[in-house]
Amino acid sequence: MTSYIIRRLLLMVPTLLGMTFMLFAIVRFAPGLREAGQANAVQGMMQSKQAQKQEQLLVAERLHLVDKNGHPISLPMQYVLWLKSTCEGHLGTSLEYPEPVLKLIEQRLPVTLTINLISMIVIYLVAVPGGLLAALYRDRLFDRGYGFISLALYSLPAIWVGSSLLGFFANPEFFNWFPAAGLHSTNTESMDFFQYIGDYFYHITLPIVCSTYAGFAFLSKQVRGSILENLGQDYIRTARAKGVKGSTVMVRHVFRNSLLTLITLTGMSLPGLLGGSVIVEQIFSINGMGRLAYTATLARDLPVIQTVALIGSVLTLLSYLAVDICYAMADPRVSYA
Amino acid sequence: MTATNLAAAIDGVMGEAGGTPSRRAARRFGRNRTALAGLLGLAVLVVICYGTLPWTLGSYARQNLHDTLHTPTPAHLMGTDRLGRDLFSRWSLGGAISMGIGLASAAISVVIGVGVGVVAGYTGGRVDAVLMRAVDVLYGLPYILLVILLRVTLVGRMTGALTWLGLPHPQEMAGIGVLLVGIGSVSWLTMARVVRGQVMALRDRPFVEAARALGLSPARVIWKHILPNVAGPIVVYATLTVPSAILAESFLSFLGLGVQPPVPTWGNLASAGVAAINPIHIRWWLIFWPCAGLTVGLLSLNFLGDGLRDALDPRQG
Repeated sequence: MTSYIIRRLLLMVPTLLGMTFMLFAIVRFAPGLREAGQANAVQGMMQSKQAQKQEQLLVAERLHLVDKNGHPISLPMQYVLWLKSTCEGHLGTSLEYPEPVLKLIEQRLPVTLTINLISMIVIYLVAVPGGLLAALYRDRLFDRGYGFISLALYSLPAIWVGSSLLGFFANPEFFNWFPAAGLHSTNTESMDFFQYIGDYFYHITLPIVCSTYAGFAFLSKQVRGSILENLGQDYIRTARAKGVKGSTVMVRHVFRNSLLTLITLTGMSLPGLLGGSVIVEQIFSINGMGRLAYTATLARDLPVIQTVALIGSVLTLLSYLAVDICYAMADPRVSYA
Repeated sequence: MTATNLAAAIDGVMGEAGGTPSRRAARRFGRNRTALAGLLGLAVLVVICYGTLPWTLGSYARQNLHDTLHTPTPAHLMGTDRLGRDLFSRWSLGGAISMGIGLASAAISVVIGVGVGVVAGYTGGRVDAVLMRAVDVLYGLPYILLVILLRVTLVGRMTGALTWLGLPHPQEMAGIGVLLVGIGSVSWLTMARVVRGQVMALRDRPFVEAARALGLSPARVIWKHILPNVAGPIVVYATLTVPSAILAESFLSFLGLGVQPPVPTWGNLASAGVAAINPIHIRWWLIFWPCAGLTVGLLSLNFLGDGLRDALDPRQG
């Protein structure tokens, strides 16, 4: 197993190189981005022409567009330089904020991660049992009703739900139950730990409702499908025929096989944990990863865009590996020895 | 006994299992009431939105500053907006444009997604690896990034090209066109993965091997023997792409990156409605109608797609 993991990690290197190359190509060949550094440097500065020029050169040098003497660097060399500094851990400084990219991500990531993790747990807690029961009561009332409701929820536009939640539950005229924006109250210093946690949950309730309600349909449909598929297999009939108890058949034979589908689906959704939903963050004024990527793109903030996309790519590859490892642990038929 | 009688008798005996696979699928679909309701809802929306096009095209931007922000009346079925424009005209044309965007994105995703999926799945090996890694990278990139990049890159050029071609409303058309390319460039990814998986499974089946052994060209094997067998999933995912593209347009409109007013879409009407909410006046019609249009449209399309999946993919039960 260990040698398999090491081999897979080594195989990831060329893939990752290809990914960085594509990323570089997409970002650099788009007009507007190459000149972005200069535009950002000029913005809102009351300086002499000379000083502006100096500033532009500095930014261009930081982005590896020109060398120390101001001569332009060729594109392949730009790629190599970017790759080198990224490997050394220098992700650069944001052009928009006066802070290193790493620090920005350090601030934004925990917020998005918390909301996404809680949302994911809620979705799994509802959708997996829901899909399971729908499969067991196939074509009966529960199956029909649950399928209808989850698909109906999936069809509600998030803009409407988000703004309605704000309009009804964070509004003194109706129910002033939840705060309308932000993640903390103003008086966090005077709270003890539990009050602080309580305050945090109080603030993220509406965003979490908004980011979960649409997620049930897809997952439960997949769970239901995979359980129904397993129920039709010959080995289930064999197990029943030799007199295995109904519950044992379900747990040992059906669920265990359906777990494989669940592993794949979970693995596919892992990279999404770090990318925040721009819409939810925008409606509830939360400074998370989604908003960071969005504003960075609007401002052509090259270092931030590259880092966010790079994290996404690396995470995608790692989650593929995680899926394969989990497969080997859940399914004795698969071995990587 | 005549031939028709015989067919009827066979149908009677065989019941469920009788008929060609497509006829059996049609029967499964016909029994699915929510799917039929979806089809009906979609038909109603299509008739309203596209049937009124001759009138709405002339009136969607007509302002009447003496009659702004009016509640719904018989003269203005859905009320008027802050410039006194008839909301029904805007809603109806907006629906036509939104559904058109959904349909066109689905078409783009079918063409690119099926193309890439078939090539990757059938060829395998290194080609497959490269294509799928490209799909992974695009999945990893935030799609807002792609859309904004495309806007920056293409809007000017497309406007120029459309003006050169002498088409009416080049700027508006270019805006919609670029949005389509943006949404389409993301929506083909899932299609490509699904088709690739199906093609890989089919590639080694005996009937495909037989076709190859008979000396058929790869193009003919794909066209005659593989594509017909992948048609079910393609139809299902194309149907499900339509609502997700409509939703994507509404998100982008909310961020100010969608189709630009005065050209209406359900998305930008809804986001204008959200912006009009304030504690003093609740002008419900401004947000209700576009959001209701979006919800009914998405609901119908999702029910339709779900019904098609059940009908065309019996494995999913």
